[in-house]
This record gives sequence, structure tokens and C-alpha cells, in this order.
Amino acid sequence: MEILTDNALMLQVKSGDLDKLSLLFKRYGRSLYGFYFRFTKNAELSEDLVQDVFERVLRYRHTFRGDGKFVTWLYHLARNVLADHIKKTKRAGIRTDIDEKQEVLADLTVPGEAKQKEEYLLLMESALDRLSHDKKELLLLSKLQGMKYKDIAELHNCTEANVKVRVFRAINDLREVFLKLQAKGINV
Amino acid sequence: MNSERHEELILDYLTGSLDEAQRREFESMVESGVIPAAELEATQAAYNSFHTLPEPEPGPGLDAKFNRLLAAEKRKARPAGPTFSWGDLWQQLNIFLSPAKFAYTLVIFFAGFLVAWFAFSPKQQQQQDPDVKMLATELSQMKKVLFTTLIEQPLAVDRLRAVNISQEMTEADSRVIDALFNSLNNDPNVNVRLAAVEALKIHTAKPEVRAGLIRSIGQQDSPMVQIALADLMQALQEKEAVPQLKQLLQDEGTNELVKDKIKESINVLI
Repeated sequence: MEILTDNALMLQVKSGDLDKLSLLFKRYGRSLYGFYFRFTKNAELSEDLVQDVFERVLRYRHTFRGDGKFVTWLYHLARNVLADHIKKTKRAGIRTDIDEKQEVLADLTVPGEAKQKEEYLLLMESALDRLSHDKKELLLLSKLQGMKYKDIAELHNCTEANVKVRVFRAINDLREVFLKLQAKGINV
Repeated sequence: MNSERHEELILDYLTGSLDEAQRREFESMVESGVIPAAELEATQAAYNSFHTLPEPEPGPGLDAKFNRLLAAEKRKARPAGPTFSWGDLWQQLNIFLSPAKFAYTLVIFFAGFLVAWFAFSPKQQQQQDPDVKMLATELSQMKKVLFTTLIEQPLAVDRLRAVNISQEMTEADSRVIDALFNSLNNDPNVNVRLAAVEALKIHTAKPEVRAGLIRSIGQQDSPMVQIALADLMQALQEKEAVPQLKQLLQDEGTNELVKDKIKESINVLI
């Protein structure tokens, strides 16, 4: 059985074989969900945002030329969906409650090894949440399967070298925030 | 600019994408201290941790929503009208059947059509419908009687049966819902209480059911029921449950595993 590339599949969707979109959904749906969940912390909202992305894939399928990577095109749409959502929630005045999250953190009790590992990861997640939107997005994009630094550079309209430097700095910022949170935890 | 170069190299090193020349450049920077070993180690640790963060798992809603989207788009794309499919059928018949076979097929088709027409003519269908309706009503009433009888029985297995039967009931009878809450909050058997949570899931569209479930959180002693309720609140995205969940979290007597689950649920709900 022939394994079709993303671009080949999308071109087939473009020419009317809509079922092929299911394969693209299987390849990228979950990671898109994970991407959104890290921003929204809301399962249902993340599902809706993923659906919005694929709605746009269908709506704009005639614009897909197949000369760039499908995943870059997909995440270009995904970033727009996220930006639109943020604009909408800002207008509606919905806060993102970082403060309440901090409260839950303070309840972390002390542990066995497995629990320590879990707490470490929880702390890392909290640190990630405290980064600026841009840094967080950059790190999450760099984590995606199939996304290379030059693809991120294309998305951001900058050089690959620039992306690498920014990712490096974001990782170090993440580390600093993590250490601060860890210190706070011990004092409590 | 120099520091940017070493930052770039460190990142390439971490992602394993240094070529030969770059690898030599990188190694000499580390040896000479231009790239401090401590900094390299710290960045590597953070990079590895970040990359081992688990991926958030989607629920069944993700696939379901996509499938609905695709189905809707396909309906839009498909030309409407029975004339299309008849034309298609005609074309296929012309292609695949010789004139003789085609005539034969038509005869069989119409014979079958006539048989079906007489067997299921409107007059006869009307006669069958009330029978079916009456049977359905009787069955539903029987289930209610069975439920009310079994839910009061001394044996847990009977009460469990009652709760399971309630899931088959098509109408959301308020008496049945009250009885289910009674089981959830008061039944001495934990399996019956767990089954009651399952049975009440069906009715969570009603605000009073959700409110009752939230109240129930504070009334439960059993860790399994506590976890089942926390899970349900998380799945329902029921933010109103957060205060009750927090109280349970702060309670000294609450089991560690339950506390973990509650923390997770609160994180999702907030």
C-alpha cells in the first residue's frame, strides 16, 4: 500500500477527495489538540479550536499549492485560529486565572520517587504557563513532530538562525522560571 | 553576535543536528570555555525535561467533531436530488448488463417492488404501528415497576440491577432521578453508589442533576465514588464543582490517590 505524503493527500482533498482529510486529521489532530490544550487548559475548547482549524483547511483548500510543507500551512492556520480566539476572549474580558493555579501548586505534598517525578513535571508545566505567549508558542512549535526550525522560521517570517537563538533563550527562561517555582515550593 | 552563534550551536547540539564542521567548532568552544560546561548542562537538562512533558490526551470529542465536520462538508459538496442517483444507476446498468440481462433485472426488480408494496402498504402499516407503540409503553412501565421494586431490596445485587435498569429508561422520570440520588448518597454498598453515578451521567443536561452531583461530592466517603464524581465534573467542565472539590482536597481524611485526581480535575476546570 502506498503511503501518501501530506502534500499528496492535501492535493487530493483539494481536487475533491474529501475523505483523504481523515488521514491528515489522524496525523496531526492530536498534536494540534495538545498545542491548544497547553494554552487553554480546556478540553472542550481545545477540541473546538482543532475543529476550527480543519474547517479552515476545507474552506481554503483551493489555496493550497503544495509547494511548501503541509504542516507549515496547517500551523499557519492554527496560529490564526488561536490569535482569533485570544482576541475574542480579550474582548469578552475573560481572565486567564494564573493566580488560582498558583494556589493549587502550594498544596503539593511530599513524596515517593514516582510522585517526585510527577511533581517535577507539574512544576515544569507551570513554568511553561508562566512564559509569555510568544515564547510558549515557539517552544511548543519546536516540540512538534514534523516541524523543523526552518519551518518555524517560515511561519514567523525570520531566519532559521534567529529561530534557534530564540528557542535557546526560551528554554533558558523556562529553566529560570522553573527554579523560581521550585524555590517557592520548598519555602511553603 | 558571538553569543548568538554559540546559542545556535548549543541548540543544534541538543537536537543532534551538528554536521562535522559544526561539531568541531562546538567542541572547541566547550573546551576553551566560550561555552561554559555548567551552562550547557543546565540548558540540556531543561531541554530534555521540556521534551519529556507528556502530550495532553484528547477525549472522544475530538474525533467525533471532526467526523461531523467532514460529513457536513461532504453533504455540501454532493449534488442533491434523486435524479442524480437514478441517472447513475441507469449508466451502470447500461455498462454492465447486456440488453437481455437488463430486461431480466428490470422484471425481477419490479416484481420485488410489487411484493414489497403489497406487504407493506400504508393500510397495513397503520395497523402495525399502534401495536408496536403499545408494546413499547408496556415495556417502559414494566421497567419502572421493576426499578421501584428492586431498588428497595435488601440484597445489593438487586439494588445494582435496579440502577442498571434505570439507564435503559427512555424518559427522565424525576422520581427515578430522586431514587438514584438516594442510592448515590445513602446506599451502604459502594458498587451501587458507583452505578448510580453512571446512571446519573445520562441526565446531566438537567441543571438540578448537576447541582445534586456537586452536593454529593461532600457526602461521599468512598475514594472510588469520590474519584468517579471528580472525573464526571472534569468531563462536564463543571466549574461550579470546584469549591466542593477544594474542600475535599483540604480534608485530612481524604485518600492520596483521590487528592491527585482532584488536583488534576481542578487544574482542568479552572
